[in-house]
Amino acid sequence: MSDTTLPPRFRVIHPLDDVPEPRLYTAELGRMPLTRKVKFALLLLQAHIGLMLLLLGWRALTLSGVV
Amino acid sequence: MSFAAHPSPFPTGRPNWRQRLLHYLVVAGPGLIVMVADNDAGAVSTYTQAGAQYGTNLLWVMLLLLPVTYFVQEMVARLGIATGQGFAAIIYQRFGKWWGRLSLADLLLVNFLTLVTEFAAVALAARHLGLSPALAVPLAAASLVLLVGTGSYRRWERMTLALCGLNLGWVFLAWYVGPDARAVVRGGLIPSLPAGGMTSGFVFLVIAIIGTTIAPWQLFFQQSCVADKRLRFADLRLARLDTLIGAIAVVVFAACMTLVGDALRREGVAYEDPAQMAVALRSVVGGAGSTLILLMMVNAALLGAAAISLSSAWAWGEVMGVRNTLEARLGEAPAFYAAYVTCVGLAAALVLIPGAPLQAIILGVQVLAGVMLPSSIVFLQLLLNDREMLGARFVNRRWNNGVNWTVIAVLFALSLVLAVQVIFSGTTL
Repeated sequence: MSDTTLPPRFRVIHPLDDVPEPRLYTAELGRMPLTRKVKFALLLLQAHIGLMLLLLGWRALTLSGVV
Repeated sequence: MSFAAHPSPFPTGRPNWRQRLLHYLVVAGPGLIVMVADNDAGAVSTYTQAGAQYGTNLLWVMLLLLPVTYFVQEMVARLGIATGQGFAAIIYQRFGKWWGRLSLADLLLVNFLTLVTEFAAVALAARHLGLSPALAVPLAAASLVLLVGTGSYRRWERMTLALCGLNLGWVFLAWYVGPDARAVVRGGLIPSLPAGGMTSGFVFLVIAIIGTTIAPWQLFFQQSCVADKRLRFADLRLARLDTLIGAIAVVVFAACMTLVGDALRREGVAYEDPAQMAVALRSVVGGAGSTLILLMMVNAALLGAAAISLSSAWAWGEVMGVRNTLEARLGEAPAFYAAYVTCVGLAAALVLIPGAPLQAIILGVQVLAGVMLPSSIVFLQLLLNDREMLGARFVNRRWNNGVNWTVIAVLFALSLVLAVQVIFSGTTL
């Protein structure tokens, strides 16, 4: 969207029409360093996912009449 | 020259209101769409049920969720602008293939189940509108495909924003049913429990409200949307405003849905689903009002389905490394559009199989999303503390981290409450 009544200097350009700017992410960065905090958070996530899988398994066994 | 792309192009140092407004209009979209689309068919069901069962007692939960949903989505917008990448792509690249594929699989599963509920709602509303679901559901699916297949991000965004605008119908309906203003203020500002206390049904509904207000697909959707729109560093402030306005809108619309549900409670009619509510409220809102509720339900379903399918297709494209932009025509990004069409087509087809317990599926999906949300937010929090990638400008501030770790702790606690409830009370997940 551009406003032609304003001087060219003040024209607002839609991001899709603008010159692409360099971003902070590049593929060379690779994997995130596994600091103690990151390791702990990922471990917590694994425990959470494990618990949820156990829960689903329990429900499946209950619904099928095994337990 | 674009003032958005350059920090200080103004001789006076400050743009005037007209330039600010124009800048806002070109930046706005992703934040507003993600928030309003969050009030999908499942949300209509959850909020109207909350009103029908507990009156205005749960409004404070929605108000409490306003800052939470804003903080979470602001992080996503910031990450999208800083990296120019979608959320799935960043998880895949920074945490490795295992986490990347697991997150994608989680997202696709929850999204697909949610999509089924959207089409289920279309079928339900169509039946009450006197239309055959066998006609309405394929028509809805076709319209969703046409919405994205224009090869223009801007065209898609404008059409989707128009659908968002139709949500104002909920404000009209809430006003029309004549809520008790004092009860609304009290319910919104003073945390309270309903007369029956903290029953399992009440806890379940609170988790469902949280699950529908902050859903995993929203994180993926907004970041991909920001990346597809190519928002610039200088757009961040207005992207935040866009997100804030969206967060306010979603809570206002949610509260209005609750008030419409509350009207059913005041009529003394038991709640079954939003379509039954629309019919039962005919004596209050008239035939036109009843039809409007059904149409609003269809609009919510279409808007939700559009955003959810897109978040799946964007994430799929990011992880698979294929072209995934709405700026591409169908033939230029075939894998991206194929993923979108497959999601929409399969979900629509599944709904046409008779005998599905629709209301149970809708509430169950909201709960499942609430269970899965903590994983996505933990990744978001870790990425926003990734100083190596984001540098000092875009990483979370200390207070950001305080708020977000609190949100994460609450979400984990609610997940555990749900888990215990499911195991020991036999509640169906």
